[in-house]
Amino acid sequence: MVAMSDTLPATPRRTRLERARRLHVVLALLVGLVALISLNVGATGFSLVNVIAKTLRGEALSRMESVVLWDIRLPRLVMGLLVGAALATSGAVMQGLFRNPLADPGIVGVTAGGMLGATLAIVLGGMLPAGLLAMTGGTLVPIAAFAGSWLTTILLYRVSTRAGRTSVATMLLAGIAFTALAGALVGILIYKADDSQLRDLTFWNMGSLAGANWVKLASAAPIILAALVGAMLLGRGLNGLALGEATAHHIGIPVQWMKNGAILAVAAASGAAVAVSGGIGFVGIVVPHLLRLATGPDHRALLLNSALLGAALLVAADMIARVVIAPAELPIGIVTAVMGAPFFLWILLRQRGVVDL
Amino acid sequence: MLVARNIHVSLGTSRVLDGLSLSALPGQITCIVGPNGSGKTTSLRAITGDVPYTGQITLGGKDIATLKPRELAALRGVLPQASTLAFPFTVNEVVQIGLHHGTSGDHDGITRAALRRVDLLKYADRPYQDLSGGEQQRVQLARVLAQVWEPVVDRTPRWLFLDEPVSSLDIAHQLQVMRIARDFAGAGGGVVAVMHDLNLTAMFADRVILLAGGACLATGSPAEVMTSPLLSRAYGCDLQVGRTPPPGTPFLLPHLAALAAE
Repeated sequence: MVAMSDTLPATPRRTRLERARRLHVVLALLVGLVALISLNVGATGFSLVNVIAKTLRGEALSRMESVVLWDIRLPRLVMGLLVGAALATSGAVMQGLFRNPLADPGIVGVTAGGMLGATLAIVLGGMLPAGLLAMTGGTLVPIAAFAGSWLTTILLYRVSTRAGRTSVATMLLAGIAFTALAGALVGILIYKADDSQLRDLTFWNMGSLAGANWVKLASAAPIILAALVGAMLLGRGLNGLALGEATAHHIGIPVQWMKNGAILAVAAASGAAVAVSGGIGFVGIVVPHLLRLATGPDHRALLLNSALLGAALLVAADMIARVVIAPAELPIGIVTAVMGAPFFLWILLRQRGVVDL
Repeated sequence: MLVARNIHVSLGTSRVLDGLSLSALPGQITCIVGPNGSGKTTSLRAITGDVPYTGQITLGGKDIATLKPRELAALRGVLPQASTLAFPFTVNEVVQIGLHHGTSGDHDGITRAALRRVDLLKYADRPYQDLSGGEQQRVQLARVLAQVWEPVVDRTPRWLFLDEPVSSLDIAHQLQVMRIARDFAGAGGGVVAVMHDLNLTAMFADRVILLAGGACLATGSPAEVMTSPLLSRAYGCDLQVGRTPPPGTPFLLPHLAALAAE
């Protein structure tokens, strides 16, 4: 290869960061496009074009149209966008935090912790004093899921970090142990659950956006949005952390503060996402990985791109889930697992030498 | 200046630094030398705030324990002995990670200049992980240089703390790195380096701190500290220090030590 000489002018070549920032726009457009298609696709013969035409002509929507649009498809779309963004961003943040591209809330047990919290709330929530129950209102399940995820993330970080070094092997193994333990506890709760709770839990385990409504959204959206905004501030810190905690400190990053922020953001985003949509896997691994391949690992752009692509991908997966066996629908967790698991294996095979356990 | 007073550091149950006091002046290269396990790296890590210590360390009159990471980063760059990198950043991106927001306007210019300084501008767009160990270490040096690119800002000297900066380099790049350190000190900045190579230390240090058993055995110019009795005592090995023709820089040949041992 011909060595570039020093005398070359500072070329106007575009850096990967600049390309990644252009990708923001492309992905934002993609999100918009997928969202429009998603509103148009479904079991009923509902056409967005008709609705828009009617609105433009100033005609009232039929009752069916109004219900399908406002009470079914729109909340589901918004939920899909939020959950997708939350899962993908959590994945990117967690990978940065653990300094490993395979870390993901679903794999290391954070999702299991959220699920345990939510299950506890669903099954045992009724036993809380009525006053407390009224105070939490519809937000009990998301709050419990969030608390479960948060505690799990902290626990995992404590277990796998010694003297400032985080062992990925320990983290994954601790995640497996914790997932098993949480699964057992959830099993006990299921054993005690009544029929309606059981139905809730089963569907919820497979992951679905089917139950989306404005009440659920009102409880989850603020948590997810706050976590996403917080996560977007972590870019520079996560870049520094890629050089190790000591070096991150040397270049001026308040490491402990930043790690706590990252843990809180991951727990909040994935906890709330789990609470409203159940176990949707692999989005958090696939999305950041694809983006790193495309425009490099710089977290300053990676986090926002992950949120956008995650949102688009999850809404697309939800469309597939709604369409393939219409008029019934597949749980979306099955769709993401079918698409994501082979991809995950492919990553493992590609970097066999790099993942040292 | 850098002043450390009565520093104690314990790692686990063992006491690594036992009442160490040392100082270093801006405009000079101060080298910390001593045998393995004498506390060289630990003393540097205490100075950079990486290990908990008792005692007091001040940089330019300010207690480092009271400074925020950001303020410290504006004051000094730290080159660790070994560096890791988690994601596939390019060489250019690694150097830019070290740039402190707001300290200087022209990030691209400084990045290029720092990489040129360590002879690696041609690799700017290569993945960092594709480089050899020695090249990676020079990229890290470029990152640290870029962080404190101006040795003096607002009449406040900035510092380079280097932990064995030449350990995995060939001889040409050893000399290059030491010259970079000398230029930084010559321009008014302070350099503190943990060194294994006593000959390079003798050539480049303005001041040598000889450690043994977690405390300071001797401090002074290379000619004062690098004497046969002091070095023999510190390293527990019969060493004969030679002198070059004027200016009379001390040097060590392992051959002479081996002969003495027989």
